[in-house]
Amino acid sequence: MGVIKGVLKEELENSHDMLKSYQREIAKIKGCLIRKKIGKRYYYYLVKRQGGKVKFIYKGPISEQVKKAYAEQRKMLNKYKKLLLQVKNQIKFIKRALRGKETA
Amino acid sequence: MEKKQRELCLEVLRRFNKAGILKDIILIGSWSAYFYNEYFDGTSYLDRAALKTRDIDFLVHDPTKIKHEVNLPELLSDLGFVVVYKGSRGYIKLEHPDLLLEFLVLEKGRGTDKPFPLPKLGINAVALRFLNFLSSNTIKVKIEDFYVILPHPANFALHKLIIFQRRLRQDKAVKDKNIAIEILRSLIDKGESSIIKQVFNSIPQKWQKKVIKGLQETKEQNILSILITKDRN
Repeated sequence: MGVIKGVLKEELENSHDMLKSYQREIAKIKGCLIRKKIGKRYYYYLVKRQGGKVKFIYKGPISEQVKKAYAEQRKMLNKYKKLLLQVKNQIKFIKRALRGKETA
Repeated sequence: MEKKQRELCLEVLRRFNKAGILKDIILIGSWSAYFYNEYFDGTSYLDRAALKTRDIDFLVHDPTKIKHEVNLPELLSDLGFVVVYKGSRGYIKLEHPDLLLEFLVLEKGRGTDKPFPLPKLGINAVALRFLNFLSSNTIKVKIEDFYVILPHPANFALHKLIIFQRRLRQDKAVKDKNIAIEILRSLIDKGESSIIKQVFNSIPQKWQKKVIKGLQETKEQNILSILITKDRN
């Protein structure tokens, strides 16, 4: 049982480090690009949180390259959010397993 | 092992192969035990002793031989791997909820606790002792359409028998000991007792004593008798 507990403790420590890393990566991504249709035309805005509020910052005309970069960033943000959730669930699971009592 | 974890490990290896660096690295650590399944095909080996963490260790045995420049964090970033700096010295680990990749190099001379920079791979590595024993005798295992280099199981097992006695954590020591015994038994099953003996004879006497001491602790008389029988001629 000692081996299993040891492995679980190591994994818990790893998961805590990973949690911080994903939170850091998510914080690095500053806003998402969205498209609004006003009248017959499309306008691009960067949406980001500033304090408790969501701000829409008008970006003006933007190139295909920038659009692609934002789309890629969005994809990574979604991926990191999904993985962050996975790490949180792993932490919960390991903590529960470590709390379990051995019966004689 | 979860299917998702195995698939991610294979994807990492595929990418390393495509980038041309798989031939420069040796897969060591408890994940080697998983890939030994093919080597031990036809024996009772089941990789059952290897209770694995998510860590995969790669040994870069000769950093000067790396020809391709590949930024590993970039290569794996779309899979969700993030760079994590460990300890006060800042060792790099590439982490994913299913796998943690760590890179090691051979420790030479007096040794240092600083990370060893691997600029061609965009990472740094941990320098550790005794790893040359793993890189001195390797096998190639075919996975899909490429080969992964692993330490020969005899070297792997004897190495584990040496290091389990240096472990500070008891649980890790037990894990190392169990996997070493499982592999040595499988080698005997496969009729490769002579290889175990040959590898044992190739190591310094000081290490040989450690191996014997480790086996005496585990009371593995069968393996012990193979190692301590005197060679004919």
